[in-house]
Amino acid sequence: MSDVVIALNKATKRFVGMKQNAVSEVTLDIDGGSFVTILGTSGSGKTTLLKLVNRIHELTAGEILFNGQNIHELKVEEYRKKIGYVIQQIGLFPHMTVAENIAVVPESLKWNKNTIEERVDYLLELVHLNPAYYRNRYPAQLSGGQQQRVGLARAMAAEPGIMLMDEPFGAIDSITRKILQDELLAIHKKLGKTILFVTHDIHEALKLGGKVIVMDDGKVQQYDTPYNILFRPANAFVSRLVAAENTLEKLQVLRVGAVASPARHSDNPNIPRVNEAETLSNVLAKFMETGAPYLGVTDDSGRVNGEVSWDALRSVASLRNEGMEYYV
Amino acid sequence: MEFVTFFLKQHNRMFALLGQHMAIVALSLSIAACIALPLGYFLSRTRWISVAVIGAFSTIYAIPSIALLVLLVPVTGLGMRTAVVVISIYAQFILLRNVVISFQTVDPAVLEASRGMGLSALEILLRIELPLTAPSLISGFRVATLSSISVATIAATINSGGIGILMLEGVRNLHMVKLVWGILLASALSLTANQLLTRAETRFSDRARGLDRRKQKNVSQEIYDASL
Ligand SMILES: Nc1ncnc2c1ncn2[C@@H]1O[C@H](COP(=O)(O)OP(=O)(O)OP(=O)(O)O)[C@@H](O)[C@H]1O
Ligand SMILES: [Mg+2]
Repeated sequence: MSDVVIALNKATKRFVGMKQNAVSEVTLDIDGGSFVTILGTSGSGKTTLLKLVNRIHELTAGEILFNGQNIHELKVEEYRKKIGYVIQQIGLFPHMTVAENIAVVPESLKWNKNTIEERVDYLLELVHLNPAYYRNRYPAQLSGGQQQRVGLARAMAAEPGIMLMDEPFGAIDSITRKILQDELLAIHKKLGKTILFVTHDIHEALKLGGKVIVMDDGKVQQYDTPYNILFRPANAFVSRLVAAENTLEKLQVLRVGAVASPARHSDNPNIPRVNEAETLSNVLAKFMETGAPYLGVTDDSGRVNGEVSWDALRSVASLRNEGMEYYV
Repeated sequence: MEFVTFFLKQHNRMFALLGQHMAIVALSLSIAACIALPLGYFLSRTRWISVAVIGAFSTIYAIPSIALLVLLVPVTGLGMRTAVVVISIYAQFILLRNVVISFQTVDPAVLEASRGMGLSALEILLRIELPLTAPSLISGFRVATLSSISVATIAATINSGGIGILMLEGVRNLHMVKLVWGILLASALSLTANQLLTRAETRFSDRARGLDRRKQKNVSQEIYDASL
């Protein structure tokens, strides 16, 4: 599934009375099933861009296509039900239990009761909340992290193909945030939903995103893989943005796939293995623990489909940030 | 002793006046609420207009009720009709202001989430906004009720009927017992209304804040304790 699900074509938003565009001529394609993060400083237009997609804001100019259809021509409420929406402030309905919160959209779509009940339990388990304990709790009886899990479950209730997430973990402590990030990655892997995820945390953007949209001043500065954002910044802005990341931080966000090569030693059953989705920092740990000169890279079924050598890993540390010249 | 004999002799008339009083108040409040709820809901969306309209009503509210009653007599005549009009206007101010503020204080994140998930304006109103604003709406309704009961007493001066008649007659004829009975009935009515509506407010407030424990039979006590 790699068809384009959302296509922006010179999408532009200027708020009434403003001199500048909040989002300016953004043209890009979001592939189905991809996890795209939107990174940028405060006021760069990340939230506005997201809200243009689910029509909380309407475009000033340009167009946005959803599976090839102009979203302006779709019935807004029906369209929004196909898109999950998660915000930093969560916005759970305080007068409804967890189960009732999750059931709102399915009920609005007139799903039958049993289907909804099953769906609620499934989703609660998916976000690691035991249904038996949490179903009938009210939002006020949950921690911030638990509330955002419910927010995530609620957004996925009616099986939307796309999730829009606006700094969902922004108000959550760093330990819980890391756990939630890993769980979200697992959910993405499992369900293959398209995710558009806004953050101003560069680490989060590079770690989660298969591709990253870097925004500044309402414009897209670069739309690329984390590896290219780090090592081939498109301009001075991106270059400055990533300059602060040290080697260890890069290793924490890059994944094996970025440095793996085709398997040459796959016949050797004794080589240590790593999953292709592992971060390079875990690969580094494995090298240090095992002393092996290379590691086999496996897919989820455990099949070896490539390898990483110690030299390839080291090259990440020594890779020159080719954008540095921009601001020397 | 005199109190009891007065009651025994006059209770039919007293209850009739009390009933009349309640009818005036109920009718006026219904009219006011029917206008204030939809109007307030729409005004709450646009801050500028809501400020202007509430400003206009607060000017009317500043006029003493007796003056407004007398002012309207040439238009609507003596009697119950004028009373209902005036009480509706006063209640309208209290309710409208309250409805606008209630809707404006719903957590914007909750509204954004409900809009973002594709609920229609009607669904948001019925499923989200009304349950969340209910305590505040009831609170405003309570204040309007108490105010209406008291203005309805004053309206007796333009011959509207109600408990105010007892008081007026008591004062005119220096009939202490009658006067005190009037005061007692009016106070009892106010206190009862206040009590009932306060209770409703608490009930709805618990629900709005997720403190309604009836759906939580399956949630163990430890979870309560941990969450409190
Ligand atoms: N409803 C609005 N009306 C007017 N201007 C707005 C509105 N929403 C956003 N803006 C302006 O548009 C620009 C982009 O705002 P936006 O909220 O998209 O930024 P952001 O990248 O999400 O920032 P942050 O990281 O702080 O959330 C800002 O200059 C902001 O002031
Ligand atoms: Mg934002």
